[in-house]
Amino acid sequence: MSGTLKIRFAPDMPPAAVEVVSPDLATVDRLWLSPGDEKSVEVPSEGSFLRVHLASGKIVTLHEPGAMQRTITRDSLRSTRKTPPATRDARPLKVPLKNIRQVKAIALESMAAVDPAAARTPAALLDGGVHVELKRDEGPARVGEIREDGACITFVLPPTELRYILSLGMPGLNVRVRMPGSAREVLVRSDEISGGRRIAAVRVRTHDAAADAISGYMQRGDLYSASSMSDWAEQAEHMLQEKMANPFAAAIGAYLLLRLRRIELLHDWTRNLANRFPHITDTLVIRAWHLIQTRGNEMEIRDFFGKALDSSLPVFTEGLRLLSEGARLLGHDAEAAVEKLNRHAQRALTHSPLTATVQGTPSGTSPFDVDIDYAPPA
Amino acid sequence: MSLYWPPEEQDIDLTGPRLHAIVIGAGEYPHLKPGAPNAAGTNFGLGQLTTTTITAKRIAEWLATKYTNTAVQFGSIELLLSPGEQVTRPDGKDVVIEEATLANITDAFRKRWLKRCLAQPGGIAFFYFAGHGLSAGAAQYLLPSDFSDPAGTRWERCIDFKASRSGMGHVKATQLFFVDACRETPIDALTQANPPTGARLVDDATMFDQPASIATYYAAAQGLQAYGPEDDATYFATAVIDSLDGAAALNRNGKLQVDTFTLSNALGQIISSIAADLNKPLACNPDPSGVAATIHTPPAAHVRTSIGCQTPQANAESAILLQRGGVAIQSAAGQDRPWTGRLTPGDWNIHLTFQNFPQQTRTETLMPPLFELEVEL
Repeated sequence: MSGTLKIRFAPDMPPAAVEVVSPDLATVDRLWLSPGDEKSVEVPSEGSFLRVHLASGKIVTLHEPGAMQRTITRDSLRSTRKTPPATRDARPLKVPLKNIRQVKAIALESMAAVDPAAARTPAALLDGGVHVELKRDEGPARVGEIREDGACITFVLPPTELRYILSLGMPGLNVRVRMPGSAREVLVRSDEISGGRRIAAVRVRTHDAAADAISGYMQRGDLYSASSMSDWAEQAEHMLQEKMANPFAAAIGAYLLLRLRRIELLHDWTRNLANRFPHITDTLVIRAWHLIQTRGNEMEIRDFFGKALDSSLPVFTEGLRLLSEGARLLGHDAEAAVEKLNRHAQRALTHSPLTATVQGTPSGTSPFDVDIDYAPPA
Repeated sequence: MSLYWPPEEQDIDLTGPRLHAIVIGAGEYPHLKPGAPNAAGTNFGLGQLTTTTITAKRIAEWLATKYTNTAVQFGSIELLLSPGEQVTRPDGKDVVIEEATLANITDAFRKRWLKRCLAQPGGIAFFYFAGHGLSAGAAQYLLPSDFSDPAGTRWERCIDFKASRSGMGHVKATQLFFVDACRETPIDALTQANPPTGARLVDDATMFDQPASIATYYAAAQGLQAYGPEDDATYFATAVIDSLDGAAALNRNGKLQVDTFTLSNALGQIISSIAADLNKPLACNPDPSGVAATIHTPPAAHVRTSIGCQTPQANAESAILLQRGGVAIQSAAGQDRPWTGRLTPGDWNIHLTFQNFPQQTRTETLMPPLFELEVEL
């Protein structure tokens, strides 16, 4: 029987895309919900079910035949088919772990236990000789809390319009991760995995969970889920008008609309973004690409790319990707522009949503892997 | 010759939007063999590859025999391999495929593939490269078989992939690029005085030429290796074919279709599942932009399914029975775990029985692209 299906996200849910599927397995609709949101969908049958596309890449199917009002909680996601990871208490912290996926799950569990009131230290040496330091651009090192006998460190950060820089020093390998000033919690874990290798896992939570979710979707190439959030991205303009402007979340919104070629939703606020926050290189790249997509003034486009190439690297990998693509569009200047960017970027970890550059041992010979991702809201 | 299908040039229909493909499998690199004369004095740690020609042939065969899209019908496939070899086409006839050198790739790319892609708007331009790749800075280089030929300069015989791709902006087709190659940065490439430049296969687009839909699917994230089993297609190619065959299919109004977005999603999940099964650091990097464009309309959808247990003992003991309607699939104890296979979407009863553990029974709704179950006992 057809009807209206009401879907509500409990306050503990992370923002996510929800796919509504009919019993004959056709996609009825796709929605985006924030914590506490409720939305309605006309469905052909009360046997319709939901698939929650989490920003982590996991898809959870929720089947509740007959119920036309569904409340999705974080617990309801955990109790589905995937066997949950071992509980924190039972987890062996100092022995080789089974696999990479398990390490990723443990990093999220650790993130859930961040204590803002704990005692902290400015720089840390984690298990396996991983040296960690976090600064606001060129400012003093931020203090963090070392936990689990040196397996991880967490930082609780105040918002800023500048970037944070996380430096990871491992034997033979140095990684610099650019972080948005909207980052509020950062965790770094060092875990040994089978085969004598070690993973340094970085998890970031910012003040805008929706921006984190979009950035996570884009990083995985999951535009299927991200595209359901284009209405959120359209609202990104308002983030610049608020008292505590969040240019980083606005940049994520702009990146999504550029990716989806939803240029009409960008209006002209990218000009405002670039003018107000020129020290955030992402804003220059965004403006240049907006002008390309609208066939704007070529000299102005070149100027924005020129400034971006002379500035620090973008905070987001999406920005580095677009800067790299843009540099190749500069005709006679392209070769020099690409060379300049290559010198700057050297080796970049494209599987990180945040621009991370590597110096040191060629990949493949270092015993370290670096895994950078967002953490869902606590 | 590099035309794999259809048999003759005059059989290629250029009157409407078509899928035109160029598929390259570089496995033998004569100038990277130990002891071979080498202009660069280094082989960057790169050896000979066994998986890439198998991969290219499998992709070409899939396109020629399984690709279906009523809006964009099949057009042509250019195939280049190294070593060049005699290949049996779908019509059973043999054709000698030419070697994947830079000159041959450039010829096939510019004079045939690009020309066909430009003939009519609205088609699909399909590029697949399986071979060695290098990454330096924000650039990605693809290495033809004559890379490092002493007759040329150090970086003369490699392809600047990103520059070539942006040079195709004027091609009014859905542009699909599959880079089944490593994206590592050898230290030799970083430390040399003159960084690589590479050949740009096409440079005809202006800054404002942007395709409405473009997707690049990298087999590896930058800084990482691509992998494959010995003497078989790469894991990435397996995931691509699995996805196109139906794991990436979305049912929209009763019509199944694989589009640029669903393919990204499926590839990411399947590669992640293979990585977990093999415990290898596989991380593909799908990069779609623009509108979601239909690539293929498979006759049926399927779910790539993986079922196992958390401990080796439970895996060894487990007997698996999967049931849906009148269909029953069994895997006896002692067989490979996790069990992997393709299942029809929908509700399945899953039974696991053991000698020393309690029986496990559950009903699950399986949906493409992936279903994974790791039973904890």
